[in-house]
Amino acid sequence: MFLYLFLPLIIIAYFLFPKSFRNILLLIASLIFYAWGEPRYVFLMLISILVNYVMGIVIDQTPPSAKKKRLLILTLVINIAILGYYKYAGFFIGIWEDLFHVDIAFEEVPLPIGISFYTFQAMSYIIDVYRQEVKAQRNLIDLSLFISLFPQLVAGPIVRYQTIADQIKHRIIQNEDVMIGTRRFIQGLAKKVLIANPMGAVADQCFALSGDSLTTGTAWIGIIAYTLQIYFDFSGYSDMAIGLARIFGFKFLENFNYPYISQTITEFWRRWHISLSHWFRDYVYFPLGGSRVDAQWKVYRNLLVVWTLTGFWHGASWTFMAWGFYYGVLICLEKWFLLKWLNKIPRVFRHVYVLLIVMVGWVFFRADDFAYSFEYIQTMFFLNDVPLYDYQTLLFLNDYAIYFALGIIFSMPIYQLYLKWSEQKAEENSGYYISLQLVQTVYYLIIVAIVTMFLVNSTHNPFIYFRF
Amino acid sequence: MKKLELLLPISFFIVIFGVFVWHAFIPDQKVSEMENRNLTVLNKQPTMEQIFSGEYSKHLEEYFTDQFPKRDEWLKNYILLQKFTGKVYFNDKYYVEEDGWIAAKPVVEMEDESVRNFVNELTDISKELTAAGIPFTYYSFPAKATYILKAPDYMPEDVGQVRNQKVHELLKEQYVDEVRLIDYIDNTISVEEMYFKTDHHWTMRGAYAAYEALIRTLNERMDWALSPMPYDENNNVCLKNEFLGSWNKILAMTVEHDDQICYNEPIDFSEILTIYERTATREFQVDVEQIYGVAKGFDESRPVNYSEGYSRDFLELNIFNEKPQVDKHLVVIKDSYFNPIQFHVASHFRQLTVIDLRYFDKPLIEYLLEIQPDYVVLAYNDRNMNVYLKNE
Repeated sequence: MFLYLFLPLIIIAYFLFPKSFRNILLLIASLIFYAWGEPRYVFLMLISILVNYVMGIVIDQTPPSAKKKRLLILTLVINIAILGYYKYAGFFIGIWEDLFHVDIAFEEVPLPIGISFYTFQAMSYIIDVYRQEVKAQRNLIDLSLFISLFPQLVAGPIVRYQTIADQIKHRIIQNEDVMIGTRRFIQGLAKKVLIANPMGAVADQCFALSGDSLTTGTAWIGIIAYTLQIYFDFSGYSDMAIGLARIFGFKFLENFNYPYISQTITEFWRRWHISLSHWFRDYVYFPLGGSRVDAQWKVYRNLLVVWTLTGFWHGASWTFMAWGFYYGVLICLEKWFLLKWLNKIPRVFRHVYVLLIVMVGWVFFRADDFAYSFEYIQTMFFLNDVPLYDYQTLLFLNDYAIYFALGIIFSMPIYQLYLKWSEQKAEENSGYYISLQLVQTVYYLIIVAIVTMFLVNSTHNPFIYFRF
Repeated sequence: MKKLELLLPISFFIVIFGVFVWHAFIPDQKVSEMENRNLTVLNKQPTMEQIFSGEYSKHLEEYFTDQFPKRDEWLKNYILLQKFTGKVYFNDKYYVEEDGWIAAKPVVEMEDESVRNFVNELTDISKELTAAGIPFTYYSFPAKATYILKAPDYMPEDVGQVRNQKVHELLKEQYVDEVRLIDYIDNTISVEEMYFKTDHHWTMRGAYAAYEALIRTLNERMDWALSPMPYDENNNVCLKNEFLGSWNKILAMTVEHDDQICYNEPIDFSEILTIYERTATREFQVDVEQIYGVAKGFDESRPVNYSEGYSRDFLELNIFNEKPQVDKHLVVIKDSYFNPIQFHVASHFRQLTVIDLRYFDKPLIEYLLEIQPDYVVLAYNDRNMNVYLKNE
């Protein structure tokens, strides 16, 4: 419905409306978009916007002082309290009950979609205002639009206010923006529907198998499928968000840069969910002292804190925290000595090292608990007494080979390199330019048709990151 | 020249907007013949509760997908894509052989809990009827999915036959009378003859063999001297209409086959049988032709499915016979496997009551005790492990 109803109506209205009404139109569209999936929680988001709007102005008007700091802390506490109530309350109450053997009456509330993303955007705005990196936004509509802009509202990227502050007021849309935006949107749609969803079907079946039904081959197929699913699901959403925003004249920063071609874990996190890594770097790691501290152990402490929080951002469970801590430890090890070692080994081994570490990490991310995660990993590495493969392994290999192949090919920047090459050639040769535009149009329309075929046949397949 | 950059966006917007307009102007379909299910139709008057709970937006999503323009064509192309990419099980369920056989993916789980629940339900029915002096027998009819075992070599055996054995063993332990009909069916008939290639039901040949075995086993139980009408190939009449097999419909009719609806009627049922159909609101007399072989009246160009070919499922039929072999009232609680032979069976008894619990609207036991039949049979295909007792 989004693709064939909401989107055409919004795009047509957007380009028909005079420029002065476009922000209001986008805001209304964003609120309808959010209310479509979360009718009740749209009010929660409006409250969050209002609080941050008022506090942003108050903080901006307060001269640097302890009072200003207290106002900042108060605003952050309000934001974290809203997020904490919906996302973490059940988790902490559970810990409390376990520790003190008490029974607390608490009915878990469903997590509002996108709350982690828009809360982090709002907090980045408040902190930037406090740091006087940006002026507080006096126009409520413009600030509301920044927090709720529908392309990235529910699953990022986490856009910083300073990135689009000017674009909210003044944006020039050129033909090239609409073309690149459309192309990017279709790419994202295809990533999600044609690769992430089939891979998700495989991963779901593999992770639903009990420990004794899982063979080593199936365990590997399951985790490779999940590795591809989560990348194409999330980066597909980011592509759609970046593409749609570009059509409307906004230029968001990239959120993914082919993370699976990384040669170190440090590099992986420079390429994966870039907006989240930057958020934690700028608002947690640097304020803790970052690497500019008087003792090396403090650097490691800061890294571990940041990465454990990164894990915790993804969800209120010990497995997410362990997943974040796992990366913290690895990045510390790389900083300590591992990077030097890695630089001495052939490139192919560095890739294998990263992929193994990442896939093991995804097991914790995907599995429901530690026990299953460890059992799964043992099966992957021949540590359980299970067969190498069975009929399910062969079926998955046969039925999904094409999707695995597509996933692996598009995890590498091959298409990106081709695009760059062809665009350069098109600039030099007008005949090539015309044929490129024609072929590109046909190619992307065929993709839209194939995506439609998959969508008509599919059941509901929400994005993985809607959960966060 | 730079305007050519708008070719892709404009084409894309025309496509998505065009589909939106198309969707808005085509009339809604109520049923998907291919998927054998009702399609979502638009609720034009949602309540505030439905809107604020998000239920209405889910409804609209379902509606939009169900009523998508040329939906069947999209479904068909998706199947063809699976074929093209060499998928073994289409829609993760159906295996297709080159000669047109469609087989179900083997079931590997015994589903012990379902078996136990099924046995418990049958035991309860049996006990209550037996206590009232009404004999009861559970018949398992051999299902296609259990006996047509076509699959790649590396696939495991389907557990259907073992599970079926288990059901009968457990029933025996509970002293419930039971018949595994496959053990009594003439074994000179091959399983390939017994089933449609593209449907999950049996052919007339398979059903007829089951009818003969059913009558023979009833004789053994009740000391009746019923003589089943022997199968005669000369009585076979087949329709020329294209057959819409249930599994082929799911596969968008992409499988070529030679299935046909055939009839084998040794006598003219309409001469001896009087039929009453009961719905939730009334009971009325109907002709044999209105119940059995409706497709005989179709134009040859019109495709026919199993229920049009033989009989659809009714809440309750009461079939009275002017020339019964025994003056008895038999009740058969059945699923669709019984449909091709219901009149063959009826031709032996004074009265045959046919009940389909998926639609039945009364507490079953209470109803049976009220009508006091001479014998009750529950005849389900062996994949069916849900009695559908709703009102007990």
